[in-house]
Amino acid sequence: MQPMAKSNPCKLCGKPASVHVTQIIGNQVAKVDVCQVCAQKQGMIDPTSFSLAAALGKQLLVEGLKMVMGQVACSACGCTLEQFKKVGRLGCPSCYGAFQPVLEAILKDSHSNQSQHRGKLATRAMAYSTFTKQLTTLEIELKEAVAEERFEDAARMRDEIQAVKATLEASCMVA
Amino acid sequence: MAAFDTLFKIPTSLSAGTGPSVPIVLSARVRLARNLADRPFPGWAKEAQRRDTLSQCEDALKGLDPLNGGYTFAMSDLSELQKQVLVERHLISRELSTAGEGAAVVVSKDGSCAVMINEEDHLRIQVLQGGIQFKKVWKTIDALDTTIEERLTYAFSPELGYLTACPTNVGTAMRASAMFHLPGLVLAGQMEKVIRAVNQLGLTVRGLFGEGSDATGSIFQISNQQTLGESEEAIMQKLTSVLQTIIEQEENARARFLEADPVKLLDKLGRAYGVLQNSFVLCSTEAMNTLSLMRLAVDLNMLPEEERSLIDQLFIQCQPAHIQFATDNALDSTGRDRYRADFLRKHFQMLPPLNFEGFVPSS
Repeated sequence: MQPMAKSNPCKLCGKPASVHVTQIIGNQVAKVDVCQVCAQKQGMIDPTSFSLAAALGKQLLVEGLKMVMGQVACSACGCTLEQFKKVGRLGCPSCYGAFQPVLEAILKDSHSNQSQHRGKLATRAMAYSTFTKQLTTLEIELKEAVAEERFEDAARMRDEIQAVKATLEASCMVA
Repeated sequence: MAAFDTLFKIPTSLSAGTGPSVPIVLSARVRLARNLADRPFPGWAKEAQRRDTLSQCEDALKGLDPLNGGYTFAMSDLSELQKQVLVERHLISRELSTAGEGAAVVVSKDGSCAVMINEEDHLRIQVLQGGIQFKKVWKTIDALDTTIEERLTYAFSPELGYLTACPTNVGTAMRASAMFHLPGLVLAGQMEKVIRAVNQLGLTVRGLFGEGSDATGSIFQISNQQTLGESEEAIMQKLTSVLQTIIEQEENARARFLEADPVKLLDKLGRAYGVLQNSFVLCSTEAMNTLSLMRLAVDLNMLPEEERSLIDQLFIQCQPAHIQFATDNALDSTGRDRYRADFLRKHFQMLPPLNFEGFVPSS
């Protein structure tokens, strides 16, 4: 390990940290620094049996997430969690995915613990998202097929992509 | 602006001017927030994006019933005074009146339907009707929303429903609200209790002009808060049943007051009538409070029934921006108070005296 210029304090006991744990929850990355002793105590040395949430308690984890995410931006519009907290408004529809772990608590709080929409359905919007998801999957598969030199598959996928794009355009769903 | 002058001449009323004006209940309103997929919400969007949102939404709304033949106003084309008039008519929010590039409103010919563009969300659709028949209001707004969705791709997720700039609106993105006239509960000092009980049921109580406005004229708006996890029908059903209870409470409060202390109530009504018939200076708060008592007098058959809908119109006409606009922006605040007193005095001097028959206790 490279010696560091300045070590962060251990999140659990405050001594200089030497173990740095990164865990991905939802779409977000949580990072935590701890010292060797605490790491051993929490079983962090074996990453398969370890969960940040269990070790730090939910509250600390949420705090940790907020710290990290304060600087994390929504990849679609560039809005950060910090900015959202300042004005109480998100930047774009994709922010719901980008800030999901933090939003989950806010949503439950303001909607009596409900988390599933039960009202009217926007049928066209749902078809649009199905088609765009399909398109993304097909494009990944196409790349794989080309890389693996399965050219017959690739040709078929290209046709399928064309067809989905045509459907999208025909129904004027290109937003 | 000619279009604005035409709109200004449409009779406007607290009970929405549609259907008969009835005791206690003024109007039912449903508002839907909608956003376009794949683009930033208005608050985060660049000016060019906001302009593009505006032109897309305007195109989509073109020719749609009930907006057809109505009006479109860009906020940048309106004076401060004109915007304030629209706020007083509940056609736009204060937020839209201060919003920047691309902010506009499309209003139906009769003023019962309005769509704000580039407010907090890309679209804020509102339908307003007299009485509290939420089913009818929902039918109108549901049909309009469905037609708009055929033309625009909404931001929608199967789990979270309609995606909105503020997470507290996500889901149905619907606010259903009823406007009430509750002088009995106010006079009996029970309104605080009612507000607390209503809050506990997850509903919000606000004054005539929404958040932060007071209970001038004993007028209140009650609306749902939660938008996620309940269907539109369930929200409106819950609201309607609470509203029925409030109507009963108001009726009881009036009956109790008449029984316990009729003289006190008659004195209040008579004095309010005297103020409206004889004042030369009236601020808008006093005008609202006295008009409120006159609406109660109609409910108690002390004034002719048809007077109720006229009073509902006077409520709006005596608002500051309405007076300022009607007088070509020529008055200061004292001038407005005089003008308000003049037109109310002229109106109420034409009325028959209050009919106290059957109320005055034998002494």
